[in-house]
Amino acid sequence: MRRFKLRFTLWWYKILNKLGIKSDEIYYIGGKTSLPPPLSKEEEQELLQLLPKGDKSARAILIERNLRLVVYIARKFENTRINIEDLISIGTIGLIKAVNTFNPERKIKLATYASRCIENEILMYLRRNNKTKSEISFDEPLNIDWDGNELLLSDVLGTDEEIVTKDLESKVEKHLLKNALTTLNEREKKIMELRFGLVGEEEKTQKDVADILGISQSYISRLEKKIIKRLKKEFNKMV
Amino acid sequence: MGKQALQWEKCGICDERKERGIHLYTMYICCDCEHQMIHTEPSEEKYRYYIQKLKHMNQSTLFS
Repeated sequence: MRRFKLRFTLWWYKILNKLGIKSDEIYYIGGKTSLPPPLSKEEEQELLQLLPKGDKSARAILIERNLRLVVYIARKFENTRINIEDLISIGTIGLIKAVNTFNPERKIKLATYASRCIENEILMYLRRNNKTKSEISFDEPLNIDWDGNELLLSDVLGTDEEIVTKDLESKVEKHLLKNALTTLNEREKKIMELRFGLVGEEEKTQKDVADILGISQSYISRLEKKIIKRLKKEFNKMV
Repeated sequence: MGKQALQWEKCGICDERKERGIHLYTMYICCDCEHQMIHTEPSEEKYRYYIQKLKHMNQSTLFS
């Protein structure tokens, strides 16, 4: 009975074509509110025999009656955050490719082959989607103002000002400090160099400096305060 | 457009009346668009466009 129905459908298409209602290249797939049922083994076999002959009606019916397979496979990928409608669309492209490239002479069922093609199509899309998700363009518009001007990512990105000037300022300050140190006597200069590691050495404690110079720590403390006060004055003169 | 061309259905992708095509559920796709669609890589911008268009395949045509 099902076989008869299938043949009737094929004849119906051919009658419509002969009457000129439908051109010989237009074939209907679906058009119902629910997805068409899958083909029986015999029906599929019959249509597959017509496929190598270039029968477009057979190709159309094979695609239509396997749309449930697309939905079934698409649902397996629902946890990928891709919209189910998108997944069905992608899977449908995979199904069309499958029916177009299916070779009935191979000992493989159409459903098996189509499943692989549908899955492959979805996986290819997912791979591509994951790749582009981690990439972002400098020209990506973040916002558009009332005048239609786009605020691009490149507009808000930039080098931290400090990064550019930090080294430069540091160089200038070192130079100023060197000049200021020339106004000090040898002992004062030595104290500053040891305490603040000015000649590439580690910063030493007041106690260490006191031991090196053979004077008391309290005297170092007093000298240090005095020297810093004088250096500040020199600095202010230079800047 | 000839009289016969008016009988042809409108492709759901290119919106043009084409003689050759197939129906995917409730959507008609012309042979040219079908060919271009299946030869478009997922990495291409156009692929996204086809996905969006194919979403209409499960939408019934509304006549108002």
